[in-house]
Amino acid sequence: MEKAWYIINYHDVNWEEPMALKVGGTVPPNFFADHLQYLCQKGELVSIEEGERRVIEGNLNKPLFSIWFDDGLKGVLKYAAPILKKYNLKAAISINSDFYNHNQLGWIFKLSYLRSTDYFKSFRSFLRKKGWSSNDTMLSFVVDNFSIEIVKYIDTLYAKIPEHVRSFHLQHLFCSVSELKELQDRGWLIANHSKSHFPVIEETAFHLIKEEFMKCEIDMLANGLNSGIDYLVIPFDRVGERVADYENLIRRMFPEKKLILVGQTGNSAENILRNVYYRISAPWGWSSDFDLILH
Amino acid sequence: MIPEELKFTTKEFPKQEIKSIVLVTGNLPSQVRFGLRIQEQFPERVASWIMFVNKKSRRTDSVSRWIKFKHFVKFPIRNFKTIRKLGFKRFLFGLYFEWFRKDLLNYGDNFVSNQVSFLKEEMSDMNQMKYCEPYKVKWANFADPCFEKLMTAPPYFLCSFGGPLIPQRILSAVPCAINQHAGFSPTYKGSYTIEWAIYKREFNRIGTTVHLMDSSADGGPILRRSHPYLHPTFNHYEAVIATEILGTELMIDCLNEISENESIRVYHQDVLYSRTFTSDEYTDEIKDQVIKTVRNGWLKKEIRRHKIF
Repeated sequence: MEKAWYIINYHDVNWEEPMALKVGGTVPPNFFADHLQYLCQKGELVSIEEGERRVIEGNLNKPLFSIWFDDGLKGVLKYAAPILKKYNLKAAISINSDFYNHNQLGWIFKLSYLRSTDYFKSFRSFLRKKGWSSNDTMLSFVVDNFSIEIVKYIDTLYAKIPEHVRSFHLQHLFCSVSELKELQDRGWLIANHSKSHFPVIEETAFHLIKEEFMKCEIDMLANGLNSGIDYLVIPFDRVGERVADYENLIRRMFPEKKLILVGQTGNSAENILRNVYYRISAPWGWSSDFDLILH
Repeated sequence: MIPEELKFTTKEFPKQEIKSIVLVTGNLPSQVRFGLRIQEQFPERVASWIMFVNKKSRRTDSVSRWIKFKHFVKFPIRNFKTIRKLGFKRFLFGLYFEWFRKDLLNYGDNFVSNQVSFLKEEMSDMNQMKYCEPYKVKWANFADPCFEKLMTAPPYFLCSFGGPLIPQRILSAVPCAINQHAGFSPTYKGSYTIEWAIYKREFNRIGTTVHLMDSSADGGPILRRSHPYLHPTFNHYEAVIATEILGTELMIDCLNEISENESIRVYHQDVLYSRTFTSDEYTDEIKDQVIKTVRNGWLKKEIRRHKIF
């Protein structure tokens, strides 16, 4: 394995994966513990700050690994944080202001929930008019043809779900502000993942990128969640679907910020000095799957 | 998650400063994990832990000799191409017995060993934080003096997982008696409910329920119900273990909520749409079918199918 700094990206660490809220990216705690053990054997676990420092200094006698969680899901605090504490490791977590404020569930979670109800047939009819066929995967079609109109239609259908169910989802899925502050006090990096988790690096939603990140930053600062405010974590980052010359366009909008992307590669001084960080998606099985990803 | 289709009310509990917990479990590894995990999450609140031992379970029993004999006979027919390739003698003296040992002698026997390997790492850590040792009682022996003691000085919470049905006289003494059931109530109550869900090929009924106890099996109002994370490599024992682990976590959520608010929303089970499975119904033939269903890849395919969004 190349001596580089690898940022491993997770979403949720949880024993639970409700049928109605299956958006993917969940890893159970025993798999997560197994992954950390594997990474310890292959290299060294470091925090984001330490990884940055050592890569820039060129102090890499073995591969370095850092852990990054997206979306601010509750399982991270409940299950992942105690496991990371055993390794004395501080991770990073990127959050969306709509989610941690418990204002509303993310559109993708709403869509996943609607799949388990009969409202989904209305959504299917709506998408068919936009060219969807049952041969296409629903989520990739929606992201490919993303628009505020689709999000509003999902919101309209989700609003028909009983209030007690909607409020349960909000209370139990995402970390609250106080829980995120607890992680921040432990030395975790709390990064900006945009307001509403739209695919802002793709053509369909690039016009929203500035507003999405600005609104989330303002809210994070108002709530005192500022430890990772300089890190912009792109939601729904699909490598082949980014707008042309995205790096320069984003740098013009956010000159001092660090761009966090999916790259399936390690980080070297070259890209760190450019303020671009690449992450590798964690496997969803046992650590033996890491061999395919890291080599 | 919650059972959204059921009607709900809010149940209030008495106000009390010290909310002690008594645990009632069986002695399987996942039930021991339950006891350790509750102690880890609620330091100094677990007053005692009653562990019922010597229970006979079809999960840990072998399948019958007749079923093993049927497999022994069918084994060469199913593996005919391999035998032809390797040669009959080699097959007979070497590999056959190796396969026989692994494939047949252990057929259906490895529930406990699956639990041990799944939970080993976690439990060695949790054992260090244990402050309450289990008090062992013979299966369903409610005449043991520990129950008299429980009724004279009742705890706030009685948390049960894997023990026998607790008599109403004991449940009435405790303000809040909660049970964890590895099954999707109200459609799957009673025994071996995960196996029944696999047998009936109802993937979305592989789940766990946490509910308030009454004297019936898994009959009280539901507090939480959800589905576990399942991986395509899981066999049906691991699906059961994942469900049991999730149930423990949901139980902890409920204990936290009731401790904080002294009330909780309860979802009432509709008897009309309930089904309680007895342990007699789970015969060796059913067990055999469940094992075959999983070996034929049904569980793996369903897990993969549900992951596609």
